[in-house]
Amino acid sequence: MSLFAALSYLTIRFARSRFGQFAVRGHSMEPTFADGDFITALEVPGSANLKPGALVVIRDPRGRDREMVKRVSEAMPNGDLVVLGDSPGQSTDSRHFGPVPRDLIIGRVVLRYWPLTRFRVFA
Amino acid sequence: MFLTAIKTRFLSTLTPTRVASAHCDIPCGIYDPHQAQLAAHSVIRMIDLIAAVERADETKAEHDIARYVTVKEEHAEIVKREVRIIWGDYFKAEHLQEFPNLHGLVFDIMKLASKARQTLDKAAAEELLGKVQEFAEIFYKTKGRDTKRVATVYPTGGELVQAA
Repeated sequence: MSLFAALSYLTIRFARSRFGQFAVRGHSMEPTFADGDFITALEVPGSANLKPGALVVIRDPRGRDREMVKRVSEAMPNGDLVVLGDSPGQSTDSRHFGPVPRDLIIGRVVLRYWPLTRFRVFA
Repeated sequence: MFLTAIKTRFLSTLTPTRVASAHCDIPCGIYDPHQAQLAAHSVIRMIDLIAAVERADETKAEHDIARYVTVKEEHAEIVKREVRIIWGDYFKAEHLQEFPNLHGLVFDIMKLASKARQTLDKAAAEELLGKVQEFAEIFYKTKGRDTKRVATVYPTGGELVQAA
C-alpha cells in the first residue's frame, strides 16, 4: 500500500511538471465548469495547435498575474485567439478585451477531476 | 507516520494551488453615469432645502436639517462611488489617450463631493454637477454615442446628460 502511494505520488509529481491543477472561480464557463471545479491543464505555453472549441487557461490580458479559463471561439489570421465564456451573460472575454495573443496562453484544459461526479476528460 | 505523510502529500498534490478565473467583472458591462448625476442633483436640492428651513419651530428645524444633512452626505458619497466604479472598472488605457483629462476630472469630482459633504457651498455643489456631467459625456463618447443635455423635471432645474 505504501509502495502504491509512493509510486502514485512520484507519478503525479512527474505529471505536474507538465500538467497544472486549477480551481475554477466564477460562473462564466457554466455549464462546462462550475465555480469550485478542479481542472487540469496541459501546459503548452503559446501553443499554436489550438482549434476553435478548445478550452484554454490564459493570462488575463488586462493583468497578467491573473489566470482565466475560456473557450477558443476563432483564430485570427495573425494567430491571436478570440476567447469567450460558455455563459456569455456572465463572462468578461474577447468581447471586452479583444483577441488574445498566443503568448498569453498557458495551456489547454484536459481534465475536470473534481467533484468526482463531474469527472470528465476533454480530448 | 510515514504513511500519513505520504497521504497528506498525495492529497496536496491533487489540490490546486492556482485559480482559473471564470468570472465576470460584474455587472458585465452594465455601466451608466445616470445615478451619479441624480445624486449630484440631490446634493444641490438638499443645500436648497437646508437654506429654506423655517426657524420658528426650533425642534422641527433641527429635525429637518438632520434629515437633509444625512441625505446630502449619502448622495455626495453615491456620486463618489458611482464615478469610481465607472472610472476604475470601465475606463481603459486607450480611453485615457483619447480623453487625457479623465484622471484630473475624476480627482476634481472626488474633492468637490467631499466639499459637498463638509459644507453648504452651493457653488461647489453646482460645480460638482458640472464635472459629473462632463464625466457622463466622456463615458457616452467612448461608447460611440452622441450626447444631449435635457432639462430636468427637478425643483433644482438644471440638466441631465443623456445619450442622444
